[in-house]
Amino acid sequence: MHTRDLPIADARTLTLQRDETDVAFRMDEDAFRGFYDRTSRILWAYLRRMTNDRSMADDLLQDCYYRFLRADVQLESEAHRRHYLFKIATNLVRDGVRRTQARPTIVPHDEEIAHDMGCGSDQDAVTARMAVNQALSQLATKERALLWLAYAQGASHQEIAAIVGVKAASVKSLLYRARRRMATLLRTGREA
Amino acid sequence: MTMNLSCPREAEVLDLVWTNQWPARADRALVEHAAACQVCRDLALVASAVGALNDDTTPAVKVPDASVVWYRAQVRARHELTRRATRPVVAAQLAAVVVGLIGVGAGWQLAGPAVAAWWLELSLPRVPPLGTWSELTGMTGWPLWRWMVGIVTVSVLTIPVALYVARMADRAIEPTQDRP
Repeated sequence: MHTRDLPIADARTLTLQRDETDVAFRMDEDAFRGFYDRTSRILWAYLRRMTNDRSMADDLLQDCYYRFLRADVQLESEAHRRHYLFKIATNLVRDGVRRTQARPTIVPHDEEIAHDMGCGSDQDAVTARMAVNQALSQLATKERALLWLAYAQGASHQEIAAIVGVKAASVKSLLYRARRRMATLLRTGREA
Repeated sequence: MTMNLSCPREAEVLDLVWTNQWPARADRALVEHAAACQVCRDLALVASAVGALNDDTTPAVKVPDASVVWYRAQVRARHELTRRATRPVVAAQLAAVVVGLIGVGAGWQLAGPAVAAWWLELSLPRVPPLGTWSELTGMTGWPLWRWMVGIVTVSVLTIPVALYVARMADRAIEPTQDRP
């Protein structure tokens, strides 16, 4: 149907709708859909660990993709796009942490962990994950990022350096210290 | 004493942790090594804990549909473009208010004595007070004409400022509209 065949009000609505989707992004909707489906869950999990806050992770997820779509940079491969997205996420979390420095660290409750793990998880598993969560939440944001990227996502030292914004040569020592602290916290938690 | 940051057997431990085979399927020698090596011991503990947390939580993550995120990004981008496009208009409005105020000030400097004389002329008692305004003029001692001129002057000066403030208030609300 041509626009001219429609009543004036409908034609106007159609024109507005077409205009509404007219903002140029770095990729088209189909390409974005594929990229989003491949990255959104792991990005959300990363944001969730970094912020310790589900609703903040929801907000930041939207913000990350918006900034990614609006970014004026050339990213050749899927890996580059992924790193860039995680770099945006890391910076957003870091900015958020700076703004809310005075706010106490949020440690998720049992119900929230159970919610994260899906319904029907047994209590022992929930308790174990809660201990890990509690230990993670006591680390600095950068340490959390290092451990999550290295051991949850299996990122290489180069990838971690690019995402967190540190020198590749220093990742090994930073990771060692973060691991040391986390291990101590986990052991202390178990003994307690 | 130098700190040992890594161990040559780290990769073996990590491979087994990532394939959920640590320590059940691990070589006995490797398990014994990990018990004695602080780097491997910490690595096995932390990587298992973080990996398990990820395995348990990430599959259950519920994220909005890609089309929703795309649509919200479009809306937000459009608002941003609109804001950017109207920035010169706001600047022009502000400039108009400033120029207007400067104009009034300059006009007062130039025509002040003449206006003051005219003002005194208006306030001469030859204008009879109106019945409905008599109380007001009686209270203030100002005649009706002086009131009317005052109201018009204040309106002319206030309206552009009010419009500008209203527009700024609209702009302050805008960013919240596209938030998820």
